[in-house]
Amino acid sequence: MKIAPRPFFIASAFVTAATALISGWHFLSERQVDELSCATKAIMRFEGMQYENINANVHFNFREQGKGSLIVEGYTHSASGSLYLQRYVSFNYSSQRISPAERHYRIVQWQASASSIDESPDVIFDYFMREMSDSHDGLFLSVQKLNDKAVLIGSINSPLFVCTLKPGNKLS
Amino acid sequence: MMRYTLNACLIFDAVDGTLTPCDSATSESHLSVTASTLLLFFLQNTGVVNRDEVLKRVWDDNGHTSSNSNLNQYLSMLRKTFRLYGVDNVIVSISRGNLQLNPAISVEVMTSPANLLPDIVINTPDTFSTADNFSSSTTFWYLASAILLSLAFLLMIFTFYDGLAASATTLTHLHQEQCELSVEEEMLATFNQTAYVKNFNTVRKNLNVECLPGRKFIFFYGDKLQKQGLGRVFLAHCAKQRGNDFSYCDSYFYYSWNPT
Repeated sequence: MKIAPRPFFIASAFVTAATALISGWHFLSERQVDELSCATKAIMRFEGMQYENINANVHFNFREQGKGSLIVEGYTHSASGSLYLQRYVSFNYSSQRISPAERHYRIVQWQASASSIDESPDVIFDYFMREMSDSHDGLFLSVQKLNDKAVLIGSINSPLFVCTLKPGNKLS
Repeated sequence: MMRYTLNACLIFDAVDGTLTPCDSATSESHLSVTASTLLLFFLQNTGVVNRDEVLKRVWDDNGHTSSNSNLNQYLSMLRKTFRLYGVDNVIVSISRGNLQLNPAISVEVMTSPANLLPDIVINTPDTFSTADNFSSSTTFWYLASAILLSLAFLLMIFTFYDGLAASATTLTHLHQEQCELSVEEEMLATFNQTAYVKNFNTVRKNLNVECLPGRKFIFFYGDKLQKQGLGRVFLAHCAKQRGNDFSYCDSYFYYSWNPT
């Protein structure tokens, strides 16, 4: 069946407009590609393997507009004994896609605070943060996709955590 | 320029669609654009023509939706108008759906008064100059439609192309005894596999972690020389659940592995 040119043009214009709307919606919904939220259980032993330890749950939150947070909750084991740890770190970040499987997050400004019930020594927590250092004042984390529900978070030197993505999150 | 005299008493101007009687006794009529185009078509195609051809040339090629009822309506309109000027049945219906300008009507193509461009129409009686315009107009609409559809297609590909989507990092899977061990290819390229597995087992046993079905490990260490230890060591001990190899993981990290 032959379609007359003007109705055909109108139909084409309609299809194009609909496509543009869908693309726009898709673009806006995918705009924040670096947002990520995941949690992990970390058992970390620092320079003194037997007496400088952290055993904690760590929650990473890379939120919109380059803002993020890190929550560390568990215990430190040190010469001072086994003490409760609850720290909150807020930061500003930027991210860069390195490959289809990897994205780098650079944390340029961060500030840590301890909750009122935190008893752990700062030195152990400092070890923890320093392991993510970018060798300057900031932090560096590489995030590699393991599957749709887990990522491998590492520092400049080594992998650090297998982090389970929270519902609705994915590495884009 | 495109003026015709019908029966020597009625002038049809195809440019503005007017029908003017020669004696001016009756008033002038204005045909609609479609009626004018239809009449012009019959004036330039005085033989027997099929209805489908008329529909195509007058409606389809001009970007309008053709239908038999439209054609009947305009034929009726033309006949009625011409009847006002004493011309009966200007377009006659012939069997098998054919139509023809009434052969009893005499048609003369008028030259322009200035006689400047008389040959354009006269010398090309078989061409349908308006139809040419229609044809180019039709091409334009189809071309514009094609451009729009191509744009939509490209936009769709750009929007939903999944080539930029994240893919999982490549891990090599080693099976050691009951242990499912995953390792980055870079690690295996750097270290001897036997030494790698041996170090994995050393760290795993030191942590009192057993190899059990449904468990998975990722192992890394950083010191290539291994003079005093393994350097930074990372061992993830994961539970597999519902197809997810990393459903729940304990992430062990040693800043400087040295079991001594």
